[in-house]
Amino acid sequence: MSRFAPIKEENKKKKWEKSPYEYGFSSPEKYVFKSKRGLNEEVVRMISSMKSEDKKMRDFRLESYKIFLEKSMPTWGADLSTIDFNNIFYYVKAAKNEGKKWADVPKEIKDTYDKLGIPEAEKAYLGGVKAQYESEVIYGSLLKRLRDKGIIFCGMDEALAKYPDLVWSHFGKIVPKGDNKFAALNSAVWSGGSFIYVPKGVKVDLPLQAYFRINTQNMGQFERTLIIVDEGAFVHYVEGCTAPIYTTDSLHAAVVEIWIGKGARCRYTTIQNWSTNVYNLVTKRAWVEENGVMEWVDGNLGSKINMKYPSVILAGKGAHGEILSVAVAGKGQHQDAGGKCIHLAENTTSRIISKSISLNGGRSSYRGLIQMNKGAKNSRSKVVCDALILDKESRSDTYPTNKIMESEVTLEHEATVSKIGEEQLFYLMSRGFEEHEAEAMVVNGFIEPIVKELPMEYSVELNRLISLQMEGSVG
Amino acid sequence: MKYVDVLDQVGQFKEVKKFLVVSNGQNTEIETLMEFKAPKTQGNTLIKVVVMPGGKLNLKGVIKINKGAELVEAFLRQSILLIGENSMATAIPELEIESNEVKASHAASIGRVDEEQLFYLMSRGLNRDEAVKLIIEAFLTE
Repeated sequence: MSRFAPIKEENKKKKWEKSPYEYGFSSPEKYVFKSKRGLNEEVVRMISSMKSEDKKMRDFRLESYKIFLEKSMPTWGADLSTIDFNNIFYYVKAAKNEGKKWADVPKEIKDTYDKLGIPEAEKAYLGGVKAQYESEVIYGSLLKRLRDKGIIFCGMDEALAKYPDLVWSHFGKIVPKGDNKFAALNSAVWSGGSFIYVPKGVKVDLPLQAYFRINTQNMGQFERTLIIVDEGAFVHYVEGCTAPIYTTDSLHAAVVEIWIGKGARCRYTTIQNWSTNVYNLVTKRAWVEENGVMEWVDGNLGSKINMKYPSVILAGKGAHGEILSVAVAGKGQHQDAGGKCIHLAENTTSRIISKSISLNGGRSSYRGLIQMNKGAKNSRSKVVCDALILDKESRSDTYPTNKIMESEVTLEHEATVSKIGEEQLFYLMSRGFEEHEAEAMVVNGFIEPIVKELPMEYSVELNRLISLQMEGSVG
Repeated sequence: MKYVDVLDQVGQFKEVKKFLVVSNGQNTEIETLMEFKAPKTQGNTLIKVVVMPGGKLNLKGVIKINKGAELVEAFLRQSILLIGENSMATAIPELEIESNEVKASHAASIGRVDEEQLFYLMSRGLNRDEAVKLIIEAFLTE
């Protein structure tokens, strides 16, 4: 199918031998506790009592469960009709307690993380790590010098027990339990996730990382993350996600809430690389006060159906929101990703850059919202979405909504969909590259504006993952 | 109002231009759809709307390229000028692409009267209303 040169026999073979998803291994299912399949009020109560929560949180969960039942499935986006809520395990506990050292973590789990390279990464360049396995955080660490500055980085359950006032000050306020069906589900059965508090004026120089892993079949992972960045502070949080390949589906429905104080800044980087049997339905939202900055860097590579629209509410004057999103939809995948910026105050600015790639019959959609409310005078926003389609079977859509209720603003939106330029390919191949190498180079160049914002290790990883997915997909 | 353009003959070329004004108290819904059903087709849509004070606009524009429609070039531009207080606009430019040998793009912009242009015209002796009127006229001429 090559356009300029025949594919060599040895390259053909290489393509089929390479496994496209190398995190698809599974460990034996060993757990301390596993709930029955399916969801009912008993399961919600059981999760709450397993965590010995107070009445306030239990009631919060039960109310959320009612909202979940009342809300109908969203039909405006990807096809979710195949999710069977009664076939999912809502709570699986794999280790007794959260370890403070890798040595305390049970062997099977430790092996999993070793294979994923987390301990090395921690040593090399991270300020703190959280590892979540199934429903619970099984390992956590934070550098002493960061602890001494008053930074809190712990599991959500631990935070609720230790700092209830701080948690409740923002918990469920940025993403209310009735926000959407999956936020309600998360609010009812949430378990694990990270809690970060950065005190006034403290800048966290090394990224904090969380790593999420699903191992059990038909598992539902519902982590809940809350990040509070106080006035003038800065934090960079990185999360990664993988799961084994099973023939049956798993569900990941997280809620992430971020509150950014006056003049503070937060960057949240996600590399979502779930196996292609995971439904990833996540609600992520940040509230930004005066002159604060929120940056979402969102990489969507894995999962079967992904619906994720990181949002920024610009509530204070001069606040800035930035969303960089990259999505790669391969065989059998639907990446429905994008971003939302809601301007409530004067002089607020936002920028969304989205890059998507569809190949091997995959479908990628950009879905976004820019809203400027009355009173958001002198606000500006720019949205750019570019899409590449690599073959005939694939599909790409763009569904942006720009809602402007204030006249003294500027909004720009542009989108393009195209295939890899023949001229670019021809040039590279005339310089001696194989066709697939040339294609990979063009694609890597295409996503470069986002990749360069990632921590080094992740950008190398992302480039490698994309060239792996790309092999054998000649347009 | 819904405008539908279908390009179903090989090599067809179509250019659509629309200029509209939404006045005070009006709540206007406009949808444009350009559907590409045949290969080697090319289509451009330009839609420019001025929303006067108290007017409301809901503008949707869809480019749809069906399977099998190869070597298609499609472009949609939505340009909205908001005048004064209480004018509102929603712009929804959409792309649905099921073919890969294509070039499809859209651009949407929502903005106000440029202060610098106003200043220039007023320095030439026009009053504010006249200057705004001239800028609107220029916006609608393309």
